[in-house]
Amino acid sequence: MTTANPQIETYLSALDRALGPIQASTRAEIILEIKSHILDALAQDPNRSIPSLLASIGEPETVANRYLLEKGLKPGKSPKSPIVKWLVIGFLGTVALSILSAGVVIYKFFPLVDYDRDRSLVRILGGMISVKGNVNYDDDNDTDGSQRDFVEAIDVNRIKTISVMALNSRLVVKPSQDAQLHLNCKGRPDADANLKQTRVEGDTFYLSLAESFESRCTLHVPASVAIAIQVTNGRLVLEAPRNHISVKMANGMIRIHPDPARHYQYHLETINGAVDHFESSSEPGALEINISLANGRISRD
Amino acid sequence: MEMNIDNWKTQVRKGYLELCLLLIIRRYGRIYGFDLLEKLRQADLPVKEGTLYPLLNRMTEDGTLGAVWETANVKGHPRKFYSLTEDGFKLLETMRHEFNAMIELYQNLENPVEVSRDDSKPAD
Repeated sequence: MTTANPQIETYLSALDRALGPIQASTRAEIILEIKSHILDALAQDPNRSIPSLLASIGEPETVANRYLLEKGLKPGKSPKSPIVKWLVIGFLGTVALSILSAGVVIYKFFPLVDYDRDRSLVRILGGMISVKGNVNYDDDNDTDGSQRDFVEAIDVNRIKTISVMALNSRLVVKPSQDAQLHLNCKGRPDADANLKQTRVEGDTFYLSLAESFESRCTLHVPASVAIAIQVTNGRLVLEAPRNHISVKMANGMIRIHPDPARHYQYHLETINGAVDHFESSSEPGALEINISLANGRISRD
Repeated sequence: MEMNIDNWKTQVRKGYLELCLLLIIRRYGRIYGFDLLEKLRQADLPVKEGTLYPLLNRMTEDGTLGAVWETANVKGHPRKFYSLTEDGFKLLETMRHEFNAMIELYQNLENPVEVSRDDSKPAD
């Protein structure tokens, strides 16, 4: 037996809820009898409105309380609105879930903030994010660490490209006054052995500063060789370049100090970053400066 | 004054409603709730649905009435038919006896019988 009328079904549902203390089989029979009465009333007078019919029966809570009283049970106190009950449940559930989530995060990523004094790193969320603790890259007077100078003779007739890789470093690239590659670095006192690694493959000279964590290096590069630089987390300064330079960098800042006496053609692109304006030259012999930077800024001066 | 009368009438009707229900059910043998409401209305004893059905439910549970759901040979939906049980018949008789006693009491109060010297002599 179905009524297919939402108002009637809503009324019967409310009545069923209000009959709560009564056992299920008896509740079902009560609902069935009331539904039967409604159908008889509608059959007798099809034009009667559903709301008036339900009103003549009485509010579900009132009818339910009469059933309860007849059975010697305590009449129920109907809630003002079931929405209030569900709002409270939802709020408490959200609070519980938030506390649980916070507990999981704290447990998994403990300590939340930690400072690595040796590496001057601030580790956040158990090391998920590492931030350099000493961000004063402009402090040239920093004398921490040991000064190391390296000189590498470059056969400019054979070597066409110098490929440099640096990690968490400050690197200044300047023109060399001779045909040699000069590397001046300040690094951690104990990082001397790993300050750089070099190899030659074909016409490319590879220089890796990746192992020299937190080094500050100045690289003097002979003219007439192209430079390919790859930096992750750091700062790169190109001082008066006299080479074709290609840079790929993630997370950091690149500063270009063009040589006023030379012409450059700039191809600069950033993702999540900013680029100052650089005037490209259309001169045939213009030096190409190609830079691709993710998360950072390319600036002049 | 009118409201007091209505309240009094409601209270009095509450008192003999069960008696009236049992009388109607006995008269028809077996009857379902909606029809019972109609019969009560016709007897100038209107009862709200929300009052009648809980009362019938209680009277069924305490054994005064028997109830059977009938679905066969009934057009449309099932109906719950009520009838008097053996205990129901006995209860009805007791209630009728008590009610008649109350009527007699009322009549005696309304029309007191005065005992006079003439009245005490047998009629010729």
